Amino acid sequence: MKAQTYSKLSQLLCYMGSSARGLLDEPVSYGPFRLIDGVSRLIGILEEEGILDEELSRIKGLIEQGKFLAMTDHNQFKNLLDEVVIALADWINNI
Amino acid sequence: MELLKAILERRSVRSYTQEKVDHFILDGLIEAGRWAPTASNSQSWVFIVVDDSDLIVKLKSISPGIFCIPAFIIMICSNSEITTRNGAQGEILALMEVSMAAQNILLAAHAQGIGTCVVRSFHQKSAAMLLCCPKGILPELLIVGGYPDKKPSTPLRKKLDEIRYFNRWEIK
Repeated sequence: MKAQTYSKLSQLLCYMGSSARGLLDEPVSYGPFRLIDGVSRLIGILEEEGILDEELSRIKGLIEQGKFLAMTDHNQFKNLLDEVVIALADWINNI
Repeated sequence: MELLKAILERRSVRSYTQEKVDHFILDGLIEAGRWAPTASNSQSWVFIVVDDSDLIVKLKSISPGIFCIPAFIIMICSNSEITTRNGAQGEILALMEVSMAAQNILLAAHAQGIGTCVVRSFHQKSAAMLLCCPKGILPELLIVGGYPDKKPSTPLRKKLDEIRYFNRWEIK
């Protein structure tokens, strides 16, 4: 594995671990927020590593556009998550 | 910049250009924080300014609340040696001091065209380790900052009538 890839995955790993600890004391809505943000970060790593997938990039765009709704509008955030999961299901069904 | 204008215009910025912020500007931000009110003039905070790229990435890794690579991070820490002198309320007073210093820093930054965002979602003990904090110096709140890449939209705010009472609470 390339050093750069290792570094990016290490950062994601730390993000997941520190999120797990933080979520014990943070608002409930931060849980789904951290997970979906993690999805976006992982797609970002795939993009940076040249593993190109147009649909995943589109899904990442969806997440980035709406992820902060977690803090302001529960229903719209829920709709966003539904849209993302349906898109992921469709994506995995076609690979 | 007029103070009230700065208060009304400041937003949480979460996307920055790669431009570095000069040390004399960062010192000016800390100077603004240093003059925030403190309990009995206790000045229980310590400010650690991070602009080393590698250290920023490491801090970001244990800070789920940071969403980009900022130009700098200001970690505001409490100092337990001073906090304990303020009695049973010492810890909460220290957090208030940290918060008031942070607000001064945010406004001073905004007045100079620098965007900032306050983050509490980070692992305190890990941050203390990465920043080589001695015992008793605890990271409480961090401010990420840099020159804004995007102008954030204006969030909704409660109306004044919903939250303001004159003299006594009344049913609205």
